[in-house]
Amino acid sequence: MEETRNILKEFLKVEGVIVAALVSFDGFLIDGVGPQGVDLEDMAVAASTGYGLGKRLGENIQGGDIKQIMLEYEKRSVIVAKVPFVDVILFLVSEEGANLGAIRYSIKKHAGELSKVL
Amino acid sequence: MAFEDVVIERNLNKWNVLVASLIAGFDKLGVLSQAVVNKDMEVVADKLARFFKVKGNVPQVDSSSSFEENMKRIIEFIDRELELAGESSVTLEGENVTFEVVGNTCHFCPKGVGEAELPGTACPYPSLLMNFANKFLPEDQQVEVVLQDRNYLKKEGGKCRIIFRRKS
Repeated sequence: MEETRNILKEFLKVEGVIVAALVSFDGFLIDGVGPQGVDLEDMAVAASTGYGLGKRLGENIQGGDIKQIMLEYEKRSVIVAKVPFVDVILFLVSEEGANLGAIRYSIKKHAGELSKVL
Repeated sequence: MAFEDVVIERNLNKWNVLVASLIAGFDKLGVLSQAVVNKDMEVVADKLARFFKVKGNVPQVDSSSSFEENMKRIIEFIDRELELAGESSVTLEGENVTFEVVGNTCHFCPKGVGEAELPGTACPYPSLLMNFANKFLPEDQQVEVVLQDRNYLKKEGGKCRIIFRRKS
């Protein structure tokens, strides 16, 4: 848990990222960091549902495996990405104005580390 | 096993098929998981508790009884009222209250009856029973599900086992 926590904290160093969490495919929170009062368990259920929906859409369009889902809202953005080689989803929330490119780069940088410790 | 055989083996009625298939149908959209069913059953448990109160038919729970006794009564109540399974049992083991269902007699299984094809579980009973019980148990006897290898239920020897204990 400490290993995953340390990697998740790396995502919070990217400007604008406020939540970083790992969610199992069946919707349960494995580990997460975020502001107090945020219900990470609830987010985990929604993240896995969004991932499942995206995966099914990918099958419908014959798009292959899902790599990443990005949702841009008025005030915040969400990125959901599969952690390579394991049935786990990485879930990030960022504030308005965050550099989404930098967030995607951080995923690329740390995803492999997550695979190793999960 | 063909669905037609499942209907006979489990002695299903139309409501069993309706509910199990309704839950299983979400697998077609890719959104069915144990966590989703747990969330959904929070709502169902609340509605059922209110339904039974309106009907004046509620589990017999009192603060002078132990948590284990009260929990057993609640599980037996809901099992009787909803006919969760053909073969089931509630046992008390120390601080745990265990509800066991013989898998191939379960009436609402989204996989066995609804034919959902997901790899994990999607059992409605852990969250349904916990949240329903918490509507009737005294405040100092609120209940939680005991995770078994990080799962809400464990299937072993053809039986699905759910364990409850008093919330710490």
